[in-house]
Amino acid sequence: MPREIITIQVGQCGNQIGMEFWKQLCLEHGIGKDGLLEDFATQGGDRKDVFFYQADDQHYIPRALLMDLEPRVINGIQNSEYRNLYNHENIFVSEHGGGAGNNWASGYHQGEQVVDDIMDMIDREADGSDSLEGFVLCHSIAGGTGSGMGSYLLETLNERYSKKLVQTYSVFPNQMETSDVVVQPYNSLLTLKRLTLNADCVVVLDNTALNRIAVERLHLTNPTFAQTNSLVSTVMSASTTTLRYPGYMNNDLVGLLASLIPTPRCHFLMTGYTPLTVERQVNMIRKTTVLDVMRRLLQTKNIMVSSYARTKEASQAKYISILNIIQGDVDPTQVHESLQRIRERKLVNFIEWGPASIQVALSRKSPYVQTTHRVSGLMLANHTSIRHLFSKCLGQYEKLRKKQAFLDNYRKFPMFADNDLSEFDESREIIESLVDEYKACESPDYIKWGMEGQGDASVAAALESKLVV
Amino acid sequence: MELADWADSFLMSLRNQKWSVVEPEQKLAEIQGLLELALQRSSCETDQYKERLFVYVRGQNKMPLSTSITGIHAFDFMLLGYRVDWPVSIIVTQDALKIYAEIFGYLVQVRLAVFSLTDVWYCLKALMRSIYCSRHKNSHAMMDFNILMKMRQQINHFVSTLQQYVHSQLSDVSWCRFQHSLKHQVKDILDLESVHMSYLADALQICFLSVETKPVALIIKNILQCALDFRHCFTGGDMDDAANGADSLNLRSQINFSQVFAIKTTFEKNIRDLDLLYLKSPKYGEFNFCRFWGYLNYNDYYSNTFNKEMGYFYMN
Repeated sequence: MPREIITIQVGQCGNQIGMEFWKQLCLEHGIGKDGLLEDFATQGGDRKDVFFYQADDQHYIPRALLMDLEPRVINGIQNSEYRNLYNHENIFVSEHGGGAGNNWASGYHQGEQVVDDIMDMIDREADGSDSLEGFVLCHSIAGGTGSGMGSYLLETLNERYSKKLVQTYSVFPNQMETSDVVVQPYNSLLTLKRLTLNADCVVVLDNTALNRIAVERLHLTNPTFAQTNSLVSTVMSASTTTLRYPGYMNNDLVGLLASLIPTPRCHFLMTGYTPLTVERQVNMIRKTTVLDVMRRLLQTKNIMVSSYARTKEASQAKYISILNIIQGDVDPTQVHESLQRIRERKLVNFIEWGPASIQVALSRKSPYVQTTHRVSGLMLANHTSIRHLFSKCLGQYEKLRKKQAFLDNYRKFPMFADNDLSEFDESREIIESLVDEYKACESPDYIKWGMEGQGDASVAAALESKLVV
Repeated sequence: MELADWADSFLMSLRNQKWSVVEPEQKLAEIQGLLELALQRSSCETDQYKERLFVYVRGQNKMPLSTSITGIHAFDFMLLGYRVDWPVSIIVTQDALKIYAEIFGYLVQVRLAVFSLTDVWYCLKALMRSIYCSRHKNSHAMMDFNILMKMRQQINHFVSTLQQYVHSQLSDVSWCRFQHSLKHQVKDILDLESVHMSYLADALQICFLSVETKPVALIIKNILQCALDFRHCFTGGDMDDAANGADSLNLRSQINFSQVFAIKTTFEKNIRDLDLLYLKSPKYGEFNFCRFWGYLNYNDYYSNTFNKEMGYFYMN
């Protein structure tokens, strides 16, 4: 029985990365651009039905909903070679097509206005599943639609499908460049609140790091969006491999999340992938072994989040959990040797408040996609240094808010009417608390976090001493 | 094990089944139906050998008429069989098939623990939302929550490490070795039988089902049972009530904390016993308990905790 997952792609970025994800999935499962199974795709053993369903005419159709408040990107998809792949009933473009003007409040408000239409689409897709496991949202946190409408969707999904999982692939803005979206810090903060409260797992895709990887690792002087998006689709498809080629472990989303996310609040995951190549770049082949891959996955330069840096403060950072998904021609005895080597050389700094280790899943690889390297690996990690990324977002927000800059654009919408800016304050408080909790995870006394007053802490300490292990 | 999604959905449907029949024969037929449905809907749907799998009742044991899933032994009455024709039956003998069935039974127990911990995870997620949504901060609720969260993390670490150990040793390492031996050591049918039996002996060792690994097996079963008991601390198993009840943010009225502490004590005692066994065990060999303990204690959490305790002991 498949544990189906419905993907919702919202806004320009969400639809672009979503499109790349579906292209990759089609390649890996031998599904043609029109949704028909290719003649060569006869090997079986994969679960196409987690992400696709079959129409009466045998076409494979992505369990995907495409949403935007302006038509450009979705029109592009509908005019591309993949135009017949999607269910056209699952595409929502707002009637006026004017977008959200990079304003979270506008995106959120417009989401509220069209909630019946989009929830009808989601309900229809959910009703078509045998055993729906959850939703995956692809979006950016900085603009207007992916952030604002995406936030509204997260709240609504949580209310209506409280027992289903919600995972997001959230693109964080590039902080090294001056953005043309001046209100990016406002949008990011307001979205982060929903990602904290209404998502079960957020895979952080940090454009700062993606750009750095493209420049430094792939030697692209001016990486295009298409090139960084191809990094994203690699991560997205690799992180779903164990669901699409099920083995003994990690074959459903909850299995993955329940190990990676021991505490429901700290649910922001970092990723690393190696070896990385982009299309038409085959001259970077090297010898790959399990140890080589596992060691590289722990290196800062391969991590797709910029906060994972070798600063003094970051050296206090700790891994709460790690899952390495290794694909390719692997000698299984190398896994144990690699784990031993990593332990001996103290390459990983783990939490002290509980037991932790590196989980390794050897996953099957698509027989239809040829790669030049023998072994590749994806790391999904819950690492406390992610708090520095949130602190950066908070810092940028504070700067802008101090100047009371650009707030008029928000006041135009009901949530902020009558100069009620409490939503900003509440969001800031929640993100500050999140940063605090990740910081607390770096201490052996994490269990005492969140308790006010000495009295309670001493009760906790007493309990803890009763429960030493 | 490679394509194991059928086993997952088979167990899931067994676990959720509301039995409509009372006659043991009918019940067995119903279980066989669930097995076939799970195979049909899995990634093995096109496997031509899938029809050879069947369930049967262990020895003379009577099948329990009600199957309440409170113990890891809930499905011990049921074994998984595989129809083998001649000449394969010369190698895959009835004795060999019994070993496969024992291993499947062990994997079922591990899986029941995983399912329980997943339920607890869902419940904690719902509790957390309620705590977040509460306007007034409640540090008592937070403290109780942290205790539950940490306990789930520890038991989950044990169970997922066990799963990973078994998976990697059984389906990757020993299977590859078996394949290698088939290619390079087997010259006649006697070789074939001996290579196959030594593969099964390794498998029993990996799953701690051999005679010499019995003390480890006992401890592992106690800890797996902790996972099932932990799940039942949540208002007698009704996770919805536990989650909804958190509105009042009085977790103690929703969750049986005295039971939680009792389970925690049992869990700790068993981990300590495991540590003692580790200290006494030989440290060489590929399929041994030390390797499993090495994964459990990967971040030195247990050794640091036990050493600290010893330090306090000597100081006092």
